[in-house]
Amino acid sequence: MLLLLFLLCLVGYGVRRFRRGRGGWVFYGLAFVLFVVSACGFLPAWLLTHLQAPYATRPNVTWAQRNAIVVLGVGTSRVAATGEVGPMIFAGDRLIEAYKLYHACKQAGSDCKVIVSGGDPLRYGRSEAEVYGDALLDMGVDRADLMLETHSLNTWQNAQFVRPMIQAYMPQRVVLVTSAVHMRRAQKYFEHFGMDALLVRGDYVNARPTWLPNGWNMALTEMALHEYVGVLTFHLYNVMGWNAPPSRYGAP
Amino acid sequence: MLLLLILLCVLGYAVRRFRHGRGGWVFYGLAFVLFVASACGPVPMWLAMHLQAPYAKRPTITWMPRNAIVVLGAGNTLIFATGDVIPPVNAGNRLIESYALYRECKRSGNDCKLIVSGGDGSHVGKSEAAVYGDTLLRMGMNRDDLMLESRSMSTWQNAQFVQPMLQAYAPQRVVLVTSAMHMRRAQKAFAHFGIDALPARGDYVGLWYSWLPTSQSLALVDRCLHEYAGVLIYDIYDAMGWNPPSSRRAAR
Repeated sequence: MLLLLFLLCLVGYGVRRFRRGRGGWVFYGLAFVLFVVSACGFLPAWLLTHLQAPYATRPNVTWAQRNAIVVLGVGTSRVAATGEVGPMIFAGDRLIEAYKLYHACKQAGSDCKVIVSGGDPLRYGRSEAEVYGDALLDMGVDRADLMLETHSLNTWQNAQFVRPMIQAYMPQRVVLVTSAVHMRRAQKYFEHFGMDALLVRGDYVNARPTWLPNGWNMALTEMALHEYVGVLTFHLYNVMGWNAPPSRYGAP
Repeated sequence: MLLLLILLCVLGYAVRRFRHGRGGWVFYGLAFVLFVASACGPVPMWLAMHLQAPYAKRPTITWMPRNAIVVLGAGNTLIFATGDVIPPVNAGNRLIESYALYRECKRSGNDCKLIVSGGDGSHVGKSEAAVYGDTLLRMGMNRDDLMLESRSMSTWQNAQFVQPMLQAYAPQRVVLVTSAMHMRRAQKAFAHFGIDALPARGDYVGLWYSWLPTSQSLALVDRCLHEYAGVLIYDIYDAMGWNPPSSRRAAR
């Protein structure tokens, strides 16, 4: 987003400089308008609503005999002084939701596994799965019920690498936990790999409509655009046949 | 932060326009340097490191016969579509930490209360304490161990209103849970009201440099400045004697 604004200003400057016309103001103006609508919250509010609204209400889960709760990683953060790696701030609500579901599932007397999916894209030396797994153990998940997928570097790979684990465990019920903003894309990928999951959101974010521009709104705009671009890319790849072949349960 | 950048640009424009001098470039240049230094990481990294570093390590806690874990609210999120109120994305890690501590405390066989402190600062019709409390109960907390302080609108009031609750319960051990970023200010307020709490941080914001400017870094600068301003105001008020009289907990 910032980059886009920066580019628009550069183009504006270029046009003014080299064409000596008045066209430059169009680009400056566009940059200004885009800046105001994103930093004051209108644009991110609109973008986020469309991404998140379908997942606002959490479904009631009826637990089957064997259940898998899949929670996706969103990043880790490293404490520079100690080298300790912990869940990133946006991971908290996903972990809480996963734990709440696990707790409910266990209370129903069913067989429940929590699958944490996430590698180490930031190269901190520990995968998201391990780090989040520790947090879940601290909350009270039984070690025997925790399964870690430690290789995926993006959402696509989350789905790709979780699939064999699901195939091996053969649950009748799969619950997918991630942020509301991320759900549409995650669901598309999981569906592509033949996993039919019940969708339960962790966090749900709101833009902050303000008169003065603020950085949080800008950051949310970037986050929302990332999701739209991801979904769009998926569709484009599907049309062009560039995606890995889809698969179904039981397929080799 | 964004506002500061805009002000600098406006100043630069005004100087160029009305003084016909070259002084305008100084302001433009300053704005640009500040922008790059903030949005690419160095400024927020430096600011956040000084706020967070003292709380990097989680303490090893020896539990006493009576313990209180105090967790501070970080706002609420209202889902417009459904009217539901949920903990915001940055509260998750605080809740996880407090729940993990509660569980550890209970397993040691001692008496443990979890105090959630936070009013309706987000003006959504429900207090942070009530909303976070629900989440904690759904995670499996014992209802008898949960205490809610649902009036405070600031960190200062968190301490002010929790103090009488602590006085009534009279624990030998008080643990304060909040974000590492927020801990210094919170600890000052709690110390002011005579509460000697062990700090246990929830989230710790990890940082990274990037070649391209990111909005997230800008948002982080805002958040750090907010904390510094808060600490500064406390110290000024203290020096001027404007803070309400501090009080000591009744001697045990």
